[in-house]
Amino acid sequence: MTAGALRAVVCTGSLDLGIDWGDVDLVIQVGAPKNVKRLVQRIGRANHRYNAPSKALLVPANRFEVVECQAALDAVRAHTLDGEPRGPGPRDVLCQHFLATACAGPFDADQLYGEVITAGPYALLTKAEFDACLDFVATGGYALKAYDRWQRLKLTNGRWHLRDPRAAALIRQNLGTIIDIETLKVRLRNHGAPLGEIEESFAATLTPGDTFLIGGQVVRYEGLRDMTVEVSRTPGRDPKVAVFNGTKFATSTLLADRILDIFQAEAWPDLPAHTAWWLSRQREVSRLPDPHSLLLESFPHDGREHLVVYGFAGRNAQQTLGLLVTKQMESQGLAPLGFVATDYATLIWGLDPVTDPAPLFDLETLREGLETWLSGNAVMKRTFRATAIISGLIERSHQGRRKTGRQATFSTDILYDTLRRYDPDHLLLQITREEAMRGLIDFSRIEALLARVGPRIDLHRLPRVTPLAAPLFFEPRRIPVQGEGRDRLASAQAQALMEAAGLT
Amino acid sequence: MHHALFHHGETLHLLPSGGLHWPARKLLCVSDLHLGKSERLARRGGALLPPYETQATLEKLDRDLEATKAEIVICLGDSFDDLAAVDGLENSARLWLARLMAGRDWTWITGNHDPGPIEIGGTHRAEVTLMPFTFRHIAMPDQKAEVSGHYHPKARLAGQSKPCFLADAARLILPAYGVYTGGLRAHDAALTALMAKDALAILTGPRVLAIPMPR
Repeated sequence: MTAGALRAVVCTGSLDLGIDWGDVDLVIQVGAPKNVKRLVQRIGRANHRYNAPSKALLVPANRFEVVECQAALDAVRAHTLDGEPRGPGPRDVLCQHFLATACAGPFDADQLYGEVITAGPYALLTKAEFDACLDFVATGGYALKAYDRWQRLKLTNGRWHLRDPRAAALIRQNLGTIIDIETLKVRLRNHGAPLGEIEESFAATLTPGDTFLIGGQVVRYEGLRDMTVEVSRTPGRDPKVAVFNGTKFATSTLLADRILDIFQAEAWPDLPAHTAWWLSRQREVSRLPDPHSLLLESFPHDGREHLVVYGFAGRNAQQTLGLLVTKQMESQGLAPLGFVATDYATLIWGLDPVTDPAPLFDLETLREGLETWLSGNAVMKRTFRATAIISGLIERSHQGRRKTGRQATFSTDILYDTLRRYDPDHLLLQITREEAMRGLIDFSRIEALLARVGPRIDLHRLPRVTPLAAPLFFEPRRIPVQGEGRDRLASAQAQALMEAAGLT
Repeated sequence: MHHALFHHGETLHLLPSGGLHWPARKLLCVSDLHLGKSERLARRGGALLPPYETQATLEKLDRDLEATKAEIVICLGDSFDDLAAVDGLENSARLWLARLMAGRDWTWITGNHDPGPIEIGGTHRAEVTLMPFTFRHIAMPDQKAEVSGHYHPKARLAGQSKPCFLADAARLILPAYGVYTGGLRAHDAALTALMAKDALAILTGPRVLAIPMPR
C-alpha cells in the first residue's frame, strides 16, 4: 500500500486515522458516516497534503443514509463537529496488562500501580480498583476461594510471577483488545490452496451448492471440514456476497437532530428525486418523525405483527429500547419474537399487535426493566464475552488449537449465567456492566429522547409496511427474544417436522 | 414437562434437565457430569473459570432426584473431568454428593475422562445391564437396547441450539448433564453413522421437544 502498487484498498474503519499516504486520489465512503468528525477524518485521507484539497464520494446504502449524508455535509459546512468525551480506562485491559507484565518477568505491585496511573485514562484509578484487578488475575477473584493451589500469579518475596511459566506462550498469543469475529479459512477442495477467510456467521448461512464470491472468483460451497470451508470453482452467476461486519458506530446526536430537521421541510429539492419521493410517500400514508414526539407504526406483514419505534437515538440506544420494550411486551403477553435496531428506528415483530403503547415507554418502568434485564440479555452476554477474552478469563480459539470432533469449548454465556447466579458481585460482572452501559446500552440517549417527547407518543395503525419502515427489513443482526412466542413457534415447528416425517 | 418414550416395552421419561427417568425401576440415569472441570483447567495452568459448575450440576441432580424419587442412580461415565478432579472436589461438594448417594443404589460407569475406580462410594462398573437395557459410556455397534452418553449431542430448533437426546429403536444417547459442557451437533458424521435413519432428536429445555434427528 505504501509503495503505491495497489490501485484501490477496500477497508473497514481501520484506516480512518493515523495513516499518512500522500497519493490517495479519492476516498469512497460507502454507507452513512454516523459521525461528522469521522467523516472529516475519512475525507482527509485523500490527498493527504496541506496544500491540496481532499476529495471523497459518499455512497449511501439506503434512503435513510441519503438523508444522513446530506445532514453530515450540512454539518461540515456549518463547522459543527460532534464528539463524545473520553471515558475512564477499561479495567479488563488492565487485567490483561498484569498477565503480559508477568510474562516479561516478576513485578512489584506498587511500582506497577505508580506506572499505570501515569497513563491518562487510568489517572483516576484507585489502588483498591487496581488491587481487585490484580486479585482477579491471580486467584480468579471468586467469593468461593477455590484456586489457592492453582493461582495463576503467585507472590514470592514481594514480587508477582506466573505460577506456571509455560503459560507465558499462550498468554502472549492471546494479547490484544480487539475481539475478532470468528473467521473460518476457505480453501479449494483437493487443491488445498487457501483462498481467504469468511466470518463464521456468514458460513453458517451457507448450504452445500450455494455459491459465493471470494478472492475475485465465484466458488461453490461443498462443506465444512476441520473448521475449514471447502469450496470448488464454479462459473456460476449471482453468487452470495460474503458479509464482513466492521465496527458499528451509533449515529451521533448532532446528526440525528439534523436528520429530523430535514424531515420537517415541506419539500426536498436538495435530495435525490427517489429519496424526496420516498419521504413524501411516507408523509402521505403515515407521517414523518419529528423532534417533538415519538412516532410508532404498527402493521401486519408476512404473518407477523410489527411495531416500528422511530426514536433516532442511535443504534445502541435503539437496541436497548428494543430489549426493554420487548421485555414489557412479553409481560403483557404480546409474544414478541425478535427485533432489529438501526440508528433511526427499532423494528419489533411478534405474534400479537401493540394497541396501547404508552405503558411500554414509561421511563420509570424502562429504568426498572434496565436493572432487571440488564443481567440476562444478549447485549450483556456479548459484552461479557469481550471482557472475558480481554481480561484473560478465557482464551480465544486459535487456528491449530481448535479441537475437532467433540467440542471442548462451551459458550461464555454459560460462564456468564453461572457467575450471575453464584457470584453476582464478581469483578468481571462489574466491568461488563460498566462497559455495556457506556457502549452498547447507551441508556442516556433513551432518557434524553423520552424527556424531549414527553407524553407525545403517537401510534399509527397501518395496513402494510410503510416507506420509512421498509429499509429496516433488510437489516442484519436481528436479535431473537426468548420467551412465550418462541416456545409457541418451536412446538408448532416440532409438530410440523414430525408430521412431515410421518412420525406422529 | 418430560417427554415419554416407549422403548422395548418400557416407558422412559426424558427430563428437561437431560436426565433419564425409568419410573418402573425407580431409576435415574445421567451422563457426562464432568464435575471438577474448572479445577482441572486451573490445575493445568489455564484460565481460572468461575468455580461453581460442580455446585450448579449437583443442584440440578438434587432437584431431579427429589422430583423423581429415584432409588437407583446410574452415572453414565465422564462423571468427573479427570481422576484428579475427584481429589480436587471441595469438601462441601463431597458431602453433598454423599448426601445424594445415601440410601440409593448408585453406580458409576467408567468414562474416557474417569477411566478408573474413584475414592467415592457407590458401585463402579464398565457397564450395567438392567433388562432390557445395557448402560455404558460410549455406544457400541450392533446393539439392541443400549443407553449411552459420551457425545454430548445437541441440535437446533427454531434458531436455538440445545443439548438433546438421540433415540432410535436400538439405542438412546443422553445429552451431557454437567453445566460446563460443550456439545456435538447431531448432524455430525460420528452420530449420523451411529443412529438409524428414523432416529429422533429430543431437545432438552423447559419444553422437551422431539424432532426427526437432523442430518
